[in-house]
Amino acid sequence: MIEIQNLDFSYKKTPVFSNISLRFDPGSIYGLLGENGVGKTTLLKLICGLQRPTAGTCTVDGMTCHDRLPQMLQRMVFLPDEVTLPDNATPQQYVDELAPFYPGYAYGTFLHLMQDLEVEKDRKFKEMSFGQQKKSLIACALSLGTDYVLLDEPTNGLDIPSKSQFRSILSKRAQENSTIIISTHQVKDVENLIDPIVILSHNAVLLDATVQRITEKLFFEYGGIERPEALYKEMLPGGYMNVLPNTTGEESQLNIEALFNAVLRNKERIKELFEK
Amino acid sequence: MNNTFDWQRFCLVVKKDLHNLWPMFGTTMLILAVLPFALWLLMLVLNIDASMPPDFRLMMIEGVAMIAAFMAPSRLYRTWNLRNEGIYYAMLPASKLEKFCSALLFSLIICPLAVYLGSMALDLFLTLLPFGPWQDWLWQGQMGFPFTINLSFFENMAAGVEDAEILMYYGPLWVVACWMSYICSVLMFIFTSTLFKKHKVLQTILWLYLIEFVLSILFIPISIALVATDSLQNLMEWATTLDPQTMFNAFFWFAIAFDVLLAALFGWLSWRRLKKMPY
Repeated sequence: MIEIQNLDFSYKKTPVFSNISLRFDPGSIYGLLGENGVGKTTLLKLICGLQRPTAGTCTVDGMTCHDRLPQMLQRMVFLPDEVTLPDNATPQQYVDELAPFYPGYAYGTFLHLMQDLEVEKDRKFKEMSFGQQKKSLIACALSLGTDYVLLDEPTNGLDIPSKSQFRSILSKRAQENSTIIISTHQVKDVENLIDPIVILSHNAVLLDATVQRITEKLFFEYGGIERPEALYKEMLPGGYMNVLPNTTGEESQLNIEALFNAVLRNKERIKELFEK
Repeated sequence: MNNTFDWQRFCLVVKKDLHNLWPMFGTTMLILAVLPFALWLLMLVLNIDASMPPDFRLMMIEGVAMIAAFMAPSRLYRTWNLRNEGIYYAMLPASKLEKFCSALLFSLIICPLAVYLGSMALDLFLTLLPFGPWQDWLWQGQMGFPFTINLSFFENMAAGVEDAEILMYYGPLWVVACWMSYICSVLMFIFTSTLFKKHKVLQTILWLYLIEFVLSILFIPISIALVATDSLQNLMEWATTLDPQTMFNAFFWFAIAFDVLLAALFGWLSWRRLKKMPY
């Protein structure tokens, strides 16, 4: 379990997080959402121990993250948005180099994932497109068999079929009791995949809730009329989509993009709603 | 699980670094190893009819091996202090000590030894050729030269040490001093490779020149004061009362102690940088 308690972090004099607390439990795919520059990548780096909090704690199964103990590292894989790859290496060589360090690595899984994502394992990285490189890295990362998978903007550069393949692969992985954290601003790509959802704002966590809890508290109305009381409304071809406080307990289909906008525009109101 | 140092895990780090050795540093090591061949070729082309003394050849081989040691950290661990590229290395499931020890092993021993052995083998091959300026076997040379103190240089020195010949080339103290100086220099290059992001070796050399320049400027008034107060003269006179071997031994001890302190400082600083480095 990843536990963040009363964490403060700043880059020199620029504060990024102030007294935030979060918990990431096994068996879930967490979606870490937020505007550009709110600290999504920084939070992932804090979890990996690549950054040190200025105050508070960040632990993985009780181990302090910034100590970067081998015991913690071999249970965690982090795939940053931008990775510099050895040009002449192939995905097979890349994973072969990492595999001995990870006890959970499974060659069969690697082959299977490479096949699913339609990437050649013996093709050099320099001969691949950005999307193919990304897919190779996703396959490498997931085949290492770690308990924690941290993905920063994983769908960047992926084409439409690859995005669906990616979602299907991750869903299977979540069933294996791994904790997966996806940081993204491309919310549509991870819709129906992420649950719970964490929305970050400058210095704070605006929302940390499961999809069920969100739909208990908020009602997503599609194709209706414009409602002045809506937390967020958007005109769509079939009518208005409104995000309203759920007063009746009626279930609705979550729209992450609308949720994101509603949360950003009604920070205090959302806080009140979810504290109840 | 031992999170500080585990022999099996250390071997994995070494194996990984070894695997990266050729793609990251292989060509440079090869060029360094064949550098003495360039001199051989030059002498042959220019038709210089002289045999190259084995002493000089050995110095050349040691020189290229040292250059390999100085360049190794900046080539093999080029990315370890880079914000994005360094993540791969930082996230590798091994302890910081294991990674640091592997870097030490490669910079201090493996890379220079590979170049040294390669250069030695090439020298042997060139000596075997019936032509060319490499005529004597490397081990036929005098392996060192006597260090001569000519008293004409120290006019006021005490009698009894005139033209003293001190054979200290292979004295144990000299060897220790040389090795310590080597270790200290390599650790300095390891430290600067954690500090500078680009042109690591060049920046180190430029900084060294700058520091030397500043120190020499600082020493000018001190030297003037010493000369003015006859302190330097007195020091020289006192030094000449000592047995020359003792004097040089004292000098070596001082050099060793200085290098040990400096090596410990560079080692600690590099270790601290790697431990605390944010990405």
